Amino acid sequence: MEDLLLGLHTAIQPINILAVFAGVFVGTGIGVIPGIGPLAAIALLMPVTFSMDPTTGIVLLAGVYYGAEYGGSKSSILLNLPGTPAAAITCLEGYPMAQSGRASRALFLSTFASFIGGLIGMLVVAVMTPAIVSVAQAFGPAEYFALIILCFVAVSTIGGADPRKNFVMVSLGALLATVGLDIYDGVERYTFGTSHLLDGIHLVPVAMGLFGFSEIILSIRRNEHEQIRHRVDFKSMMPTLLEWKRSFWPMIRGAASGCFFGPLPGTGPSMATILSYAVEKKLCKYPGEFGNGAVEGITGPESSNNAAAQSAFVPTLSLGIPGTPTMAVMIGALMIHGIVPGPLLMSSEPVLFWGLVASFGIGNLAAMIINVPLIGLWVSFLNVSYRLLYPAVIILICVGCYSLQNNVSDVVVMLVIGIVSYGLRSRGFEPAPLLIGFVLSPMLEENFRRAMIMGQGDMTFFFGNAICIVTHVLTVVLLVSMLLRRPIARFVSARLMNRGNTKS
Amino acid sequence: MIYRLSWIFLMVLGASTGYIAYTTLSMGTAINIGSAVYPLILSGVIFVISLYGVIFGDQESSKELDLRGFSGVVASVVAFILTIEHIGIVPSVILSMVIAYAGQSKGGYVFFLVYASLFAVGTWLLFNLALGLPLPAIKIP
Repeated sequence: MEDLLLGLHTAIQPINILAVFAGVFVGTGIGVIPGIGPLAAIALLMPVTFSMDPTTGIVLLAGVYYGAEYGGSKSSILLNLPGTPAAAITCLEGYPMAQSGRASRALFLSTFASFIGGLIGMLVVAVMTPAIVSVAQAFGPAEYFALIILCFVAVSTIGGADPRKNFVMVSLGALLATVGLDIYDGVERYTFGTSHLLDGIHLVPVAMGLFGFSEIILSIRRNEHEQIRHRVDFKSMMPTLLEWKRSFWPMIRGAASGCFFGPLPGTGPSMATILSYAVEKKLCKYPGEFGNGAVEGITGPESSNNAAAQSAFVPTLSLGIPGTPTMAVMIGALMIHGIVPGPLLMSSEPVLFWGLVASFGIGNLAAMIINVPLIGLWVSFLNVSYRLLYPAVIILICVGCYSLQNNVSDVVVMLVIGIVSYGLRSRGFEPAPLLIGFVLSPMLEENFRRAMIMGQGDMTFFFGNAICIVTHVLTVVLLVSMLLRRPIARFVSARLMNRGNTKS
Repeated sequence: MIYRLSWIFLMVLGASTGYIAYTTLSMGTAINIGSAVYPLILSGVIFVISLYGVIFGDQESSKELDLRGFSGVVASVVAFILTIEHIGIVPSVILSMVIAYAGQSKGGYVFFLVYASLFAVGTWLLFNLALGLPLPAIKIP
């Protein structure tokens, strides 16, 4: 408690409050732009922090980080262009909600849910850092492997598509991620002699091709005939009492999953949002709304996403292990200031550590203050004639992909994936599972190979402890329920029809 | 069968990638598995599920192909790819936007040309000056 008060005292210094607001504002603005994510934003702004006090500098960069998470959900909801992999889940419900004329409500719900998730994440980080660290350390290769397989199966249940189609898309995404140099054996996989593919395929062209390119083609004709005028006023933004009630527990559950998975290196936010979505879909009293703008499908994952973003700092600061490339840049920023993250950071730099934790609360409040009034501005973009909007979005996608390596090869990759995605989407295949499979695949393979080495080739190593067994059991249960859902539904409806025929 | 084109495409894709992995990469050993194993498993999963889809799948619903829209968007991206490094970002963006605009059937090209020009300059300002990316505004080939 004393530490948190110390942190609060640090965080409310005028310079740190200014840094938080500036970071969140810049991060939100950059997060909205398709193709430019938090990593690029932090990397570009890092030199600005060199002349600052370390605490202020890290607070600024942290503000950019979760500000970008807030911003990423804007483009997910309004344009079906996820700024981050975790935001791909927001596309599933947020975009249909926007398409049905409820864009301002979707934006408000996502902002509010992010705020709640961020606050809970902050409290969990403050109170439970030692416990979180020990749980994160209990996850070895076999546990990660089991968890990612569970995510793959959970992803197959998302949206309204046939689970078999979703599972194929997850597998396809995972396969796409194998393109490039195998870091273990040093051999090229699926590069076909092209030097551009040696480093593999970048996430941004995949996301832009899957969502942006194909969505634009699908939307051109639809918007030629009908363009919904979006209301932008307080009433249209405010959820109804029923929507508030429906959102409460998903936000709490989402924050819980975010706090649990966030500290896990590599895939915390993505896993947290996928599982949050899958859980809400299972528990929802209105499952038919999923895929068409269910509020639970926005509030749960958004809360989870932000909670995971906050708790991702735990292994970064307390173990010195960056869970994501963004956290690696954060560690770089700390080290430039002469601060070494690790187990001693809390005791050697309490002002920085607790000041950062307390700044999460201020930062989330800043994000609410900045984002809610701007909802009208974001939604007004939708009232712009679509024939003016979509060429601009194409350019942002192309330039965003080009800017990765100043090379047109990334734009070519985006084009190819976009064409294939358009073909598959027009036949009922969802793009989100492919993106999730692409993101999780490197970790799945790495942990699979490590586990095989550690287990000396013995497959029972994957069932060696309670975490693995429980996770595998959950996977099987989910898989069976997914596969049997349709036959059971057909059986039940056939029985009901027979009963109806008998009565008549 | 034509209604199951997507499943057939995926089945062929799974078979091809599996074949490439099996013939060009090493399987390794049980302890130290090679680079072929993981992509082979994934290819197998895609192939098996797609085969099931081909044999037992429901008739696929498909959206009508919007040829004009599709061509406009693809041509726009191709134009960008071919011109960005040769004539600079501003003319490349204008050209790509006009081609993309041709993918819809409503007119107003004069107004759109002005809009595209302003947007191109704005894009250059954002990516070059604000984000520091080295993209020249205009490049004389």
